[in-house]
Amino acid sequence: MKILINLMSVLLLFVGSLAVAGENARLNETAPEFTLQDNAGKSYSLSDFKGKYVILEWVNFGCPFVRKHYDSGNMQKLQKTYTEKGVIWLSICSSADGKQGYFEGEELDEKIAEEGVNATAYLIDEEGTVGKMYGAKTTPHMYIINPEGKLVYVGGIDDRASTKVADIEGATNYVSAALDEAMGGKPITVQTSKPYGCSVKYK
Amino acid sequence: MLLYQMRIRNNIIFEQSLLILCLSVFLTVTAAERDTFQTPRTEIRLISEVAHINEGRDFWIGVYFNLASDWHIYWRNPGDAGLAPKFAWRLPEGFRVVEIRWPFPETIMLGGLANFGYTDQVLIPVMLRPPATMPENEPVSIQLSAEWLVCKEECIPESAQLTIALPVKSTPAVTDDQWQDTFNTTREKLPLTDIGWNIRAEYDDNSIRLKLSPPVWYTGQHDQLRFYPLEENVVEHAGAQRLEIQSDGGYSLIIPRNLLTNIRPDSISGVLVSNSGWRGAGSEKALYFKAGIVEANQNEQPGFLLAVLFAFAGGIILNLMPCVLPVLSLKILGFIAQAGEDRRRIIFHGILFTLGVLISFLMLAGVLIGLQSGGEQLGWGFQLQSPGFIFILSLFLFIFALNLFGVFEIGTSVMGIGQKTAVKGGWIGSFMSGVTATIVATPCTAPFMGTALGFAVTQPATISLAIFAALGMGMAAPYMLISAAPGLLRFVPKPGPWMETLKQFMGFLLAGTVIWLIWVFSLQTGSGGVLLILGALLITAIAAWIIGRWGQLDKPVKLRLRSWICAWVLVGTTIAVGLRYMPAAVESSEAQSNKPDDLEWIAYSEEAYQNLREAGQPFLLDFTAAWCLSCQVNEQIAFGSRDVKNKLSELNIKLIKADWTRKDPEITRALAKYGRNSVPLYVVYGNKESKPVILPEILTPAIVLDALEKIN
Repeated sequence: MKILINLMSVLLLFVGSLAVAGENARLNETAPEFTLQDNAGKSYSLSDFKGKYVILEWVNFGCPFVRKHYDSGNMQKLQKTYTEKGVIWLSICSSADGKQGYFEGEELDEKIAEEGVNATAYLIDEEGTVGKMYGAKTTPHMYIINPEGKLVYVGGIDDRASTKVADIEGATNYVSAALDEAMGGKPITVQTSKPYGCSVKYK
Repeated sequence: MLLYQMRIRNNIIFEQSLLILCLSVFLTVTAAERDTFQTPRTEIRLISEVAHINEGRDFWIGVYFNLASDWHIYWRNPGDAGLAPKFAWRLPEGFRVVEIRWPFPETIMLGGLANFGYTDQVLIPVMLRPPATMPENEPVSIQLSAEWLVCKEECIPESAQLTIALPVKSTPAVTDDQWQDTFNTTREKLPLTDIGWNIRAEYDDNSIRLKLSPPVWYTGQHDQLRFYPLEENVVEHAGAQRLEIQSDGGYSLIIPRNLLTNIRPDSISGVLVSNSGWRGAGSEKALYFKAGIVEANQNEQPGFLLAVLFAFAGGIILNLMPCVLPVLSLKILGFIAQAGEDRRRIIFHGILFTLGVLISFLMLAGVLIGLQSGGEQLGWGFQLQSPGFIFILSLFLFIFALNLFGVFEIGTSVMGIGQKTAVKGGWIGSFMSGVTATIVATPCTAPFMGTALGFAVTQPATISLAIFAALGMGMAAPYMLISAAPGLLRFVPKPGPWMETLKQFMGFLLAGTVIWLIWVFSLQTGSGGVLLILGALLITAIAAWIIGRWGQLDKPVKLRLRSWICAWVLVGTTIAVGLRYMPAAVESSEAQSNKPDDLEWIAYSEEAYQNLREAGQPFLLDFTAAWCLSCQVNEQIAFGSRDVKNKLSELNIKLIKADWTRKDPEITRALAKYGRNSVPLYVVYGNKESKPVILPEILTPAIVLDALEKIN
C-alpha cells in the first residue's frame, strides 16, 4: 500500500511539473526566475530583488538602435535616474560567442566603462536561455518587473522606431512613463508596445 | 603696362570663378536629378511605369531595390526585429500619393527569430494622382527621401534622395518598356482583396484559428499557407502554423499567439500566402484580409470527451495489435503464476502494471509535446525513427528472451514465475512489463487512436496528457479487469510444469519481436547496421550466459559479484560502441527495393504531389513506416490482393508512398494536413475537382476497391 501511495504521488508530481515546465514570461504574471553572472563573475538572481522594481534591458553595443540610445546618453541617463530611486536595472546581453555584441573579460570591462553604463549590473546570457525564456526579440527590448515579482511592462523603449538620435527628443519613453506611474501608485496605462531594434543574436 | 597686367589677372580670376560656378551648378543639378543610389549592399532606384503622364490620370511609379546576396530589407511589418522602409515624398503642387502596395514577403529566420522581408530584388509600387489641370510641356519632378534598414546578420541603416522627372503630355500615356516587365511580375505578388473567400477568425488560450471557405468557383487546393500579420505583438512570428483541410473543402489555419504580451485583439488583418493561387492554379499567391476575432466558444468540450473515449477504446484495441502481443505474453504468464495467490496481491500487481503503462504513455507524450513546442516536426512513433533507440530496445528484449529461455535468472525471477515466494521481486516485474508493453506498442496505430492523437496535439499540454492517459488506461484495462475479478481466474489452470514450458515458449515470441526490430534497423542503417546489431546481440548473449553460469544464487558472493560486473561491462561497452559506430542512415529507397511488388510506388515529395494534383491525375497516397506493423499487414492484405492490383492499373491510378521510417519533416507536415500525426494513413485523390477520400486504418481489399470506385 505504501509503495502504491508513493508511486501515485510521483505520478502526480510528474504531471504537475509538466504543467509548470516550459515556464515562459507572460505579461501580468510572475516573472520567471533566472540567475546570470555579470562581467566580474558575480551571480545575480531575480529572486535577490524581491521587493524592488527591476528593469531588464536587452543590449548589444554593436546594434545601431542601441547606439542611438547610448551615443546620445539617453540610456545611461535613464539608468542613473531610476537606480537612484532604488530601481534595480539589469542590462542583459544574449549575443552568442562570435556574434555582434558579445564581449568578455577585460574587453567587456573596458566597453562597460567606455559606454558609461549606469546599470546595477551587465549580465552575460551567452547561451540565450534567459533571453528565450523572456521572449526577448530585439535590442533594445525592455521589461519592468514590480516589487511583487510580476511582469508589468514588456516592449519597446519608446514610440519612435528608428536609428536616429534626433528622434529621442519628442518621443514618448514608455519605460519612464510606466515607472513613474507605477512608483506613484497609479496603474500603468501602456503595458506593452512594439519592441524595435536589431534581432537578438542568439546562438 | 600695369593696366594690361591687371586686366589679364582680372580675366583669369573671372574665368576661374565662372568655371567653378558652372561646375557647382552642374554637380548640384545632376546630384538632385539622380534617380538611383548605390551602396555596397543596395542599389535603390526610383522608376516610373509610364514614359509621360496625363493631367488628372493616376499613374504608377515605384521604388526598386536590388540587394547583394544574403542581404535583406523589410516588409511593412518587419516581424520580430528590423524596420520597414520609410518613404517621404516631395511632390509638385496638386499631386498626392494614393497608395503604396507591398508585394508579399518571405520569412527570413535568424537565430530562431522570424523576420519578414525581401531578398535579391523587389519593387514597391506607388500610385500617384496628378491634379486635373497641369501646365503642359512642363516636366514634373518627383522627389523621394528613402530610409531603410538592410541586414545580413548585422544591420546597417541606409538612406537616399532620389528624383525622377516626367513630361506632361495630352497624348495617352505609354508604358516605359524598360520597366514594364518588372511592374507586371510585381503585380502578381501584390495581395488580392475581396475575391470571394470567406475568412473567420477565433482564438483560444494558445492559438488563433482562421477558418477559410472557398468561393463556389474555386477548383484549386492549398497545401501550404502562411499568415503574415499586420498587427503587432499578436502572433508569435517564428512559430509553426498548421494547415488542416476540412472535409467540406474548407481550410483551418492554426497560428500560435504571442503569449508574452498575451494581447487579445478584436480584429485581425494580414496577408495569407499560399503555395498555389487564390483564384486557382497559376494565379496570385497572396490574399489580404481583415476579420473580427472572437474567443473560441466552449463547444470544443464535447470534442475533448469524445477524444478521451476514442483514446480509451483505441487503447483496448491496442492489445490485439501485432506488435503488442509478444510482450504482453509476459503479463499473461504473470497472472498464471499468481493464480494461487491472494486477491489483494493480484490487484496490487494489476495496479502496478497499469501504472507502468500510464507513466510510460505520459512520459512519451510529454517528450513529444515538449519537442513539438520546440518546433520539431515529429509525430507519434517518433522514437522508433531513431536507429539508436531500436538498437537498445532490441538488446533489452533479447535479454528478456534469454531470461525466459532459462539462460539466467535475476534474483529469484524477474517475472515471479515458478515459486510461491517469487512475488518478492514481482512488483518491479509488473511495473516494468507495463513500461515495456508501452514502448513496443506505441508505433501501432489502432483504429480510433489516430483521430484522438491528432486532436490531442492541437490542445494545451494538460488536455493532451489527459488523452494520452486515457489511451494508457485503455491498454491496461483488460488486465485491471482480470486482476479485479477473481472469478475469471477460476478458468486458469493450476500451477504446474506446463508453466515452465509456456514461459520458454514465450521467449520465442520475444525473439520474433527482436527479429522484426532488426529488419526495421536494417532499413534504417543498411547491411552494415545488421552486422553491428547481430554482433551486439551475440555479446549480450555471452553476458547472459556468464550470469547464468557463475552469477546465480547458489554460487559464492565474490564469484557472483565478479560475474555480474563482467556482464554489465560487456553490455555497457557493447551499447557504447554500438551507438558510437552506428552507420549513417541510408536512403529510404532501399525500403522500396526490398518489396517484390508488381506495383510501382513513387516516393512522396511535395513537388511530386503538386504535379499530380495540377495534372488532375488520380492517385493513392500511402503513409507508412517500417516499424509500423499494422502498416505492413495492411499493405500485404490490401495491396497484395489481385483484385486491387487489377483495379489500380485499370483506372490508371498512381501510387505514392510516404515512408516515415526515419524523421522526415516534409512527410510530417503532409500528415498534419489531414489532422494526423501517426501512421498508417491512406488517402485517395481523383481528378482535379474531387476532394480527398480518407481510408480507415485497417484496410481490406473491399475497402480499397470501394474507394477507387468512388473517385472514378
